Amino acid sequence: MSEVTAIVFGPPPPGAGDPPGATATLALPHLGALADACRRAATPLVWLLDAAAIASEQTLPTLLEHQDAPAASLPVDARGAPVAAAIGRIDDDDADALLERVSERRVPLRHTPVTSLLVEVRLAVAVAPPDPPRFGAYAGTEWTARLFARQPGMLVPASLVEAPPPATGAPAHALRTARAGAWRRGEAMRETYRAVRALAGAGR
Amino acid sequence: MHSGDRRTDTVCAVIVTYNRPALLARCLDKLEAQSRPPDHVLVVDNASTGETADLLAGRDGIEVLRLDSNLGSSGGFAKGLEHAHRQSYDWLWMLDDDTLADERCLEELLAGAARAPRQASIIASVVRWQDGRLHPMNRPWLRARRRADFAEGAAAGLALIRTSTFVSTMVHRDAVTSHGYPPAHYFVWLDDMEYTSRILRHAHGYIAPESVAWHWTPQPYDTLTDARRRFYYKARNHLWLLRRGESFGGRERVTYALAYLRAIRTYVRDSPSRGEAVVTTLRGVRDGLRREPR
Repeated sequence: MSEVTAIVFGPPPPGAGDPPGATATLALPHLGALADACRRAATPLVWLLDAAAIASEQTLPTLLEHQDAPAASLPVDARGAPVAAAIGRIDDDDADALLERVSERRVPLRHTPVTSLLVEVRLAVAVAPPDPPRFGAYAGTEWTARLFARQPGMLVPASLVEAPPPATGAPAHALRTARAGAWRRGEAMRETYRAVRALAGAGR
Repeated sequence: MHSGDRRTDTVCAVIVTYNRPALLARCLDKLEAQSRPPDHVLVVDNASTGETADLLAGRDGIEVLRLDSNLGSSGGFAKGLEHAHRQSYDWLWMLDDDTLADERCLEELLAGAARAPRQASIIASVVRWQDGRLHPMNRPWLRARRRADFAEGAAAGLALIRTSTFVSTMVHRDAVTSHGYPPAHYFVWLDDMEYTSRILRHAHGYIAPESVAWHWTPQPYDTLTDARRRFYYKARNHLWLLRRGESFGGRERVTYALAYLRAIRTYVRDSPSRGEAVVTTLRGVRDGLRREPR
């Protein structure tokens, strides 16, 4: 198996151990410190894993079968059902290409929240790092939109990772993400609406 | 919805033909050469006037359902599906007479049905034109916004779809039992979309990417660039489909309504005779607003 450094970001839950299968593990407080962590990694591949996510023994080996592209696991809930909001956006602009990828048991993505993502270090450092202060909960989405524009990313549905639904960000973060071009018009409207609604709900 | 081992399912191929004996012969040759041949082949002859009858008489193992008049492909498929459904085959494999199925086309469709994560009501092939591109008339309507379901299908090597066309599409008999038949009165165009989207509104359908069929039209037409006078059927049937509201609801219906307006705009704009195009469109809209024969 290829050597991979796991980069676990976010506040770790109590009793969390190292993710299975990685050669080494680095812990980060948030995705914003990714560039530095990538430089410290002594392997050509890094596995970015949300500290709140639970990977199985098969999560990483299955991603490694698709390491020719940035490869994302399928986030599922505790019952094993896919969490749609955590998948990101499927790139269906080129139907023929999509069908070809599906025959390889994977799905091209335009962007995804970072839950479990295997990526080459050289690619991860070739784009500016995620910016959580500016984009908040959407920092991973904004970053992968830029990353996947450089090299298309793939959802690998056979690689499962248990994860909570992604948090809805603040309206200001949603607007900045929309202005950064990570979302298309419809997505931008929906996400901004959700963010405003969540804020209104929290204020009640 | 339905149960059992999909790999042992029985299949009846339903082909609708009208005065295209050379293409029909090729279509039937391709069916004979299947790695997993269909259990039965039903050809619906839409009252062809030429050599079609002779061709069919000279072929063994084919059932011919000859209609008294040309009911269009819509009427032909409705009659054929009804006839085949009565014979209790598990799957009804719908093919235009200009469909050339690759050798493993049916085998891969059945393999797709067997590995589908949800009970599949429809399994379809990838449809290509002569030069290898996806045929514009049969471009898949992928259900990529249903991300969880799409991912689940992709894990099994299947692409979740919203509609399909009668160019190598298998419909399960249980879906026919539940949803009836395609709208025969459409004559041509959009009958397949009306029917498959009605079935798939609350069910699952997939494309099996390894199953390939070739739609052997002279040009890579779509409903806008095909013979211009036939746009009448597009204008009328699209409106019927929208008004009936059984195939699309909510946001999908709005999207489909906008697609209708775009299609009319493009057709009129690109037509060599705008006056004629406007008249054709208005006739279609007028009849589409009238009561739909059922």
